[in-house]
Amino acid sequence: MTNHFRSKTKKRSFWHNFYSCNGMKREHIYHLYRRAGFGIGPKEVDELESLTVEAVVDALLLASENPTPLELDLAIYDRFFEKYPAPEYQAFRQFVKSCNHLLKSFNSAWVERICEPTEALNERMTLFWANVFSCEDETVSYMQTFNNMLRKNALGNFKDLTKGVSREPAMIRYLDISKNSKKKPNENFARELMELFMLGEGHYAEDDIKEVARAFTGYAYHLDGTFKIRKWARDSGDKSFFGFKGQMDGDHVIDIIAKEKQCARFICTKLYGYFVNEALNEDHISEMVSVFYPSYEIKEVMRYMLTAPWFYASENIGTKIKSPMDLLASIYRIVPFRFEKDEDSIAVQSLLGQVLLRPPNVAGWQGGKSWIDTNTMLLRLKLPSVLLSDGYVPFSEGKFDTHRKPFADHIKLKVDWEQFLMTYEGASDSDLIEVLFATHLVENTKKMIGSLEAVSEAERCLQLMSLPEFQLT
Amino acid sequence: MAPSFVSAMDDTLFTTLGRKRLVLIQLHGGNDGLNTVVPYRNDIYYRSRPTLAIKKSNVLKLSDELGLNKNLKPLRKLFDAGELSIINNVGYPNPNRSHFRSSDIWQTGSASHEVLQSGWVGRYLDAFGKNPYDAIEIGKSLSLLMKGDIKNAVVTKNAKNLYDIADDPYFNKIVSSYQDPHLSEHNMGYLYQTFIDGKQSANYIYEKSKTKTSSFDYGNSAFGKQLKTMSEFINSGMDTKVYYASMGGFDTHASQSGRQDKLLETYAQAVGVLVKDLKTNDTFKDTLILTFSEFGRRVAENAGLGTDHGAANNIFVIGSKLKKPGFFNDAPSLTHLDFNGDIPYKIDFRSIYANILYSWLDVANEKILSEAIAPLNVV
Repeated sequence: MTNHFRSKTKKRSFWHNFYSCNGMKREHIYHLYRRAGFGIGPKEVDELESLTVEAVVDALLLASENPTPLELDLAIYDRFFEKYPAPEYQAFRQFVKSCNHLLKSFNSAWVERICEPTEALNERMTLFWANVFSCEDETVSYMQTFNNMLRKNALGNFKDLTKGVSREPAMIRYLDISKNSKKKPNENFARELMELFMLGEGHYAEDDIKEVARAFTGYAYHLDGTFKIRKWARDSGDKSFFGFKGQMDGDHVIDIIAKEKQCARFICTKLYGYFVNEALNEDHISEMVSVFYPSYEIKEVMRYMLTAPWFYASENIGTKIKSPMDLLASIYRIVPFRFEKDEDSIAVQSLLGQVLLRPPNVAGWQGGKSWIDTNTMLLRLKLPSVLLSDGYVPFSEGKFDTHRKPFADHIKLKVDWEQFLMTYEGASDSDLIEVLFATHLVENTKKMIGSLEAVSEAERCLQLMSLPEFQLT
Repeated sequence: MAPSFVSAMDDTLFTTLGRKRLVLIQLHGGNDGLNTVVPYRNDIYYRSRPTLAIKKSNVLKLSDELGLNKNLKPLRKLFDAGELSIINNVGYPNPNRSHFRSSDIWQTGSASHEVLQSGWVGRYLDAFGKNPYDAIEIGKSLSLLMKGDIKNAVVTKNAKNLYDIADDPYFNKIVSSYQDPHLSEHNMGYLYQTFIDGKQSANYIYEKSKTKTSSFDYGNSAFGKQLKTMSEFINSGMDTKVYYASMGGFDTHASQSGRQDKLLETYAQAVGVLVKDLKTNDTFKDTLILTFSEFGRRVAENAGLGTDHGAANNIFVIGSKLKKPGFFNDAPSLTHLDFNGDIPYKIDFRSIYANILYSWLDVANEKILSEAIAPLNVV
């Protein structure tokens, strides 16, 4: 068994020092992987340390070239359609309800994928897009297709991605697209397309929404999830929109909106807020827009952003509040764990305020400070000890008699402390601090930690994870 | 009228300013006001909603023109007792039809064109608050309404549970070791401040409210449970000025009729029980309950047997000291709709906030509302 911290002195070789003048700082590698993936371990950092930022980002992008779809065994759906090739709508809905436990399985599979991503950057992007194109449906097959469509296009072209979204049965249902007909238009999707997906408030008029709604008339789906156009519902008349006039359909509308530079700015602003800093820097965003517009190639704007010197500026490191998914993944990165039941994983997500596949509304999660209130803050500090231990943060004076796990006490997990020890046995406080924190600990906090007895690396790890600083990324 | 010392008020007076409290309830998603307070004599209403309009025979008639959805019986009782004001046509200029924007506008008390980062209750805390539990949201996470620029309200669903979570000896260690750098850095400061507020409030709320358990039946809905918790907080004599609870599901673009009726039933039953509970404990006289939604819905129904986002809407104010119980103003005119086919506003919602701040919470509203707006005479 090789132990990282026992053998690490060997790593600091002459060649290592020679290359490190161009190589990335360890702190920056951690930062890149926390933000663009879901974290990284000390061994992997050792391997990357000699590389330039361009090389590391190239490697990240290359590793995401062929995203692995996230697929449950949905044979039960196939069997249903074999038995009933043309089912009644209500019969299908009833069938969907009868197997809605699969939605929980899909949620849980996604969380596990995030903790253990096959393609780190692509998986991060998938989570990002799922919150731009916020969507919810009880039909697990539709959600799975939707999710994998996002995954497939996550680093592709934004226009293709948006067109794909408009054809997904999950979205067609979520925003009432199939209820939108020539006779009776329904503006729900048209409005959100402009407001939340492509342009942002204030960059279109109420009349534009009406024209966009007309262009999307007829969009519908077969119950098996394939897209179709319903001719009777189509409004084939001329539409006039943003200076264009003609027989537009939804794809045309998306292309026309994308001609507005505001569309590129809107998406780059979302990217910047999510990956860099919620305090926006308009100059940096403008740089991104000039890369993103007019091609809308997501990969290129990501490459630009992740290699930009400002991405590694100190005000952008360790200053974001972790989302619940970030928090779970960051605990998992150090001490792998697995929920025994899908329901338990969902219960924890619900306590923290982010249940995947169940966004609060079509605007998605607001992120940042909105994750934190008096209630979630206390839960978050307590979470590592509740998940990994017996519910209290271990230290000598810390034993107390009251109820130990004030939440999630029925939840069963398998915690892989062996894996933790393989990497962290013998780790010093500063070793653990480097891996655990994106931000610096102030002297008083270090002193407080130093004054606590910890009989093992595991106890020290729990003490550190229970500091407010662990909530930053 | 507000006492004359208001403008010169020092915030140390805050905790001695009397026991009046405000309960805010939001119906999320945009409640369809026309099927809530039904214009049962209006032909345009019936023509615009061939499938969705509520039949005259199903309406709880309150006046020659207007009646309540049949599931709002508890509200009719309040109406008859002079403890309910129904204010019609409430909204704001240049209405926004996005849930998030319009909800933010209602919660921040901003104008349509202006984006504020703090809620009006949050700014009330900034200006006059003493303790984080001066305002409490009964729910899972804190809404913009309750966030100030400096201070935040507390959010909880269950006092005992919050207390148990906060009661870890390690947390005392963290409290004893924090220092200025923790609080001065942007997000780090926010984390530490929220942690400290949480710990302090968890203690206070638990110690105060553990003496009071409501024996009233609030039903099994999540909303009913929220109101039950709220009644226990209020009746235990907690020094909290503003409570907020909300109920979702009102975004009825499709298949509206059964859905909305059910939601209204849940809402009205829980509110009805809350009023009874407060009356039994003699706290109703100091409580004002305001129910709002981010917008009303379009007059005409859509193809999906639902209604799309609209503009002005009715709101309910419940209390025992109303200036004008019953219908505060005229029913919406369905002949004068805006270009979208929506009901235009006649009363700016902020004039109601101004009134409540000034005449009910006894504070200077200029500090809280961004524009000088004349208070409406509701309470």
